[in-house]
Amino acid sequence: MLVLNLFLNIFSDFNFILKIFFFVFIVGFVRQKITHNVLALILISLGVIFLIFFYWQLFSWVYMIYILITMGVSSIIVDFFFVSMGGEGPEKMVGAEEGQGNKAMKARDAVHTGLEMQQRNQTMSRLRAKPKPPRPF
Amino acid sequence: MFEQIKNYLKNINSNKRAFLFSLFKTQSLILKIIIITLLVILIVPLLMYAFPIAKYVMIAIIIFFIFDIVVRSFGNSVLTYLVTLVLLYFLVYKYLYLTTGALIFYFFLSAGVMSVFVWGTSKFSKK
Repeated sequence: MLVLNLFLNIFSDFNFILKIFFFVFIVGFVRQKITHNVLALILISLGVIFLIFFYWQLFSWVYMIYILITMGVSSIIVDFFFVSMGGEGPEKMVGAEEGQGNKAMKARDAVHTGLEMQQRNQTMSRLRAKPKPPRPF
Repeated sequence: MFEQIKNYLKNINSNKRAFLFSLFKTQSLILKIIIITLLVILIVPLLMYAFPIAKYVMIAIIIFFIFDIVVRSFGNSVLTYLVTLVLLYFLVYKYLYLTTGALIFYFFLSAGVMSVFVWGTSKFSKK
């Protein structure tokens, strides 16, 4: 219960901090685009009222994702995809014994490649056999 | 604190160490990357805990960082100082260690060090 209370306190505090950062972001964004003071103030107040007071449940997530993307988390994801393409090695994925998985993987790959080649040959021969339609005038 | 860690590492026998290492080795790649990143990020808060001077340096860095963000939006006005003070109360006074971790993570990301962790972990975990 104590841990839950602590967690909820931290969560509410960080929610408040996020709101302040979002307020700073709105002010900076509007003032950068609009130099007219009154119009900027109206837009800032409208933005704050709608985005922070009315639709904060939605825009907190949007802002979090925006922060993460601007920080460069997408590069980590790209790196991870590049790295995970290589995999952990077939022996770890399939078999527990040394080399067993590797053989199984190679055999499976060979079967798949054979099937794919067969299908490709069939498709090619079907396409070759088809007569060309006459060209329209 | 360092003495405690040193004693713990001395007392830990080789079987336990091997067990911890094998436990790490059996994890998936993404978990390994997360563990390595967390360990590296946690170095700075641990240093802050051990040496107070590191704490003051980190506080100064956080203050400059927050003030820079706020002053870019509000300019040189009273609101800048007000918002900065509110943020500093939460980020420096209340949650200094969490903020430090987040800031280190941000620095790593902006410097491209995270790619080193990702590629390095995948490279060495395959061996």
